[in-house]
Amino acid sequence: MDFALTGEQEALRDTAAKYLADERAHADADRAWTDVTGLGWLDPELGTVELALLAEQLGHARSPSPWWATVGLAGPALRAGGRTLRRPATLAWAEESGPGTLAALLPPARSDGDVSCTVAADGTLDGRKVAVPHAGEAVDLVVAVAGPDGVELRLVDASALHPAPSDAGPAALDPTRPAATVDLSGAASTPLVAAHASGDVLAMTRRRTLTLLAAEAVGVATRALAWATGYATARTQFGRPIGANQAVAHPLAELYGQVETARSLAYRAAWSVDAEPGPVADRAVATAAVAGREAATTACEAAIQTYGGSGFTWEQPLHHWYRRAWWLATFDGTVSDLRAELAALLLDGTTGQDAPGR
Amino acid sequence: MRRMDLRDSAEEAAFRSGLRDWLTRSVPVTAGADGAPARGRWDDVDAVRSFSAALHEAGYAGLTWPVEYGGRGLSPVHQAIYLEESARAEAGEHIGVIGLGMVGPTVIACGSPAQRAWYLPRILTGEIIFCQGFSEPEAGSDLSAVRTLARRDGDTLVVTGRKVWSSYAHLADHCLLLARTDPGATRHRGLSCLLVDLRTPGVTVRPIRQMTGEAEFAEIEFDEARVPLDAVVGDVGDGWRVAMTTLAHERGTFGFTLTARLEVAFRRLVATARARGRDTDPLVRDQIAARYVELEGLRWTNRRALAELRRTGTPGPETSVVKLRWSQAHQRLTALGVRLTAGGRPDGWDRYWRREMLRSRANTIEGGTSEVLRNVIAERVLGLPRSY
Ligand SMILES: Cc1cc2nc3c(=O)[nH]c(=O)nc-3n(C[C@H](O)[C@H](O)[C@H](O)COP(=O)(O)OP(=O)(O)OC[C@H]3O[C@@H](n4cnc5c(N)ncnc54)[C@H](O)[C@@H]3O)c2cc1C
Repeated sequence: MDFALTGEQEALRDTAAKYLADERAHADADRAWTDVTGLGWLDPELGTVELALLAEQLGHARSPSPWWATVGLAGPALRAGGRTLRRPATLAWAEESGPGTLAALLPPARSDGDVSCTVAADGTLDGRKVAVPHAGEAVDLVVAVAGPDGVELRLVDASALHPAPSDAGPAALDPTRPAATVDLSGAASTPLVAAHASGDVLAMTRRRTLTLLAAEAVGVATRALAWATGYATARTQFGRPIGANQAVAHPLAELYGQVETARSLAYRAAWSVDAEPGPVADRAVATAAVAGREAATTACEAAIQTYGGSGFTWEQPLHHWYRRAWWLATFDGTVSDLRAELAALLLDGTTGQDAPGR
Repeated sequence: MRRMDLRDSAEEAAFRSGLRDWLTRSVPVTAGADGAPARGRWDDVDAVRSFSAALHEAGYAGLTWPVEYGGRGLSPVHQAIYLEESARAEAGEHIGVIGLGMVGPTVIACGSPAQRAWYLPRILTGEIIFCQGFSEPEAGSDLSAVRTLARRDGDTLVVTGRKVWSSYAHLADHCLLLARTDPGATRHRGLSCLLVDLRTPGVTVRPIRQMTGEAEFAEIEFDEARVPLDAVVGDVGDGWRVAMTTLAHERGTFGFTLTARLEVAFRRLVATARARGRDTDPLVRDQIAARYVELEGLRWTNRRALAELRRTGTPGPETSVVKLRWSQAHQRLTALGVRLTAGGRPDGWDRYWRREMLRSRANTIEGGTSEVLRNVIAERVLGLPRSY
């Protein structure tokens, strides 16, 4: 058993941290995407552990990049369909009165009849998808549609579509995580994953995406904690640093423990996704997702409180991370939903027997 | 090339399966008819003693101790596997938890050859049972306020003073004592660590009744007790450093022990929820999942810290959070156990959880209070200014 990062993994993480620390990395979306490709962050050799390390750093920097959607949401289907990842990509799964979450597309919840987007024999699509992340930037759009044999995954050239932003602009929770409604009527599509294989690919998609976002949440939490600690050391009131008060210091010490345990769980889930059987990995992923999401919101809230009045301002960047934390906390289900899933994995069926085992 | 791999290596897997076989054969069944544990961990001391002897015979005591001192010289990973498997098998602990986990490693690190030769094998067999005598009425969180005096008289030390909250002192025959050998010195200076036989004239052990009604810890009074000078571990006056070695062991690999106990408690919680038909209640399910996330966070943080320890030789800063978070997790878990068993027909489970809930209140106090641990993390890990 060896839970240490390898030298290569550390180098990948450190290079990412260094690159992302430079403001210019986020200034221009096209340039940023070229960098992501050039840095090798789309390479097929990267396992989920490596991707999680990158996601953590991207969360730390609160990067607006659609990288996570490309490797997480669209990656498994594109790879299964024999495509390489080069352009920004995303996945369209939710429908207004059909499946809401990725989990709803997986057995045993999945009922193929719920999916109202359809594909004709010539590949022409019909229907609408909602809440599609980064739909405006994505070039490759993977869609889950009902075919003659059940739900299949198909590829659409998104540059021909006109997504209607549903969550963007200043009112959005996190404007760097825009979502849109996409009308697919009349769009041409090519096959990626046939109906008989789509369950497995979507299960992997969900595991991988939730794991990357758990790691991203750990990155968000780490940044917030670092800010809070720095401010608690620098800011003076009553003639001494505010961090010399236990009422300020102790919540940060607690937070450190929360963040580190969440980090352990995110790495463990990332390893599990590639190495362990589905039900074991599902448990690891849900556990990491709960811990990561909770750590991110708690850390940002503690940081805001530590900063006092300035923490509440628009100018102070904390709210951007807090918005990201809340976006993470509510993406494709809430922490309560994840705990319900975990309870089912622990208490129902046979896998629950050796629950705390692996 | 080395890769991250959270699975057992072939050798670790072989160790695990051998251990599993042994545990299946050797762990006495103690659960009552309803599946609830029949009694507390230390209620039947004779049973604990004979299980400890069996552990030693099978080679499972002192796994990480050097071979030359009767240990197996194995890595902490083996110790972790041992703790996990014995937790799953609901096995008891070795009677010498304090000796094995704290005093032995301290003697290995700081003791004389004669002390090593005498104490180490006897700790392993369970023949010598140690307790730890650090805390005093006036020296708790601030251990440097220790007043117990060990006055030099030729080649003996004459010990006078009072120790409190010493766990299992009433079962123990020896004590690792922190005392002041230089009455003129204050704070961290002039202290020494002594290996004291509790049967020495002038030593009185009085059990202290705790809120559970039991007495797991005791007061130890020293009234001119004469202890040979060669009982000092390390140098006279170097007791603070020696005591910190002991506490480092208490807070280091001990995380695995604590987490293994939490795992046992979690399994029992699930069993209780099922036995009481509460496992379909969505609120209960939410709580059980939350407790599971806490347990897993500790398990994998232990392993991450262990990897760091193996690579760099020092435990990572993550280690400092395990005891803090474990104590809170355990308190929440036992409270949930009480809520699950409230009302209905009394059985073994409600007795069990009431006792565990009360006992868990000590978790945030014993072995360094949560406040003190937060001070340590704030100051040494986060680099915040000292707050006290
Ligand atoms: C079940 C149990 C078993 C024990 N076993 C042993 C044993 O085997 N051997 C042994 O030597 N001792 C043992 N102890 C003693 C234990 O280590 C002490 O109780 C502990 O260190 C606290 O000391 P105290 O009780 O004097 O409380 P105090 O130090 O007086 O603390 C009282 C309160 O003040 C807080 N406080 C104190 N200082 C600070 C500070 N600087 N900043 C913030 N808050 C502070 C504490 O956190 C606590 O809440 C045991 C205790 C228990 C409960």
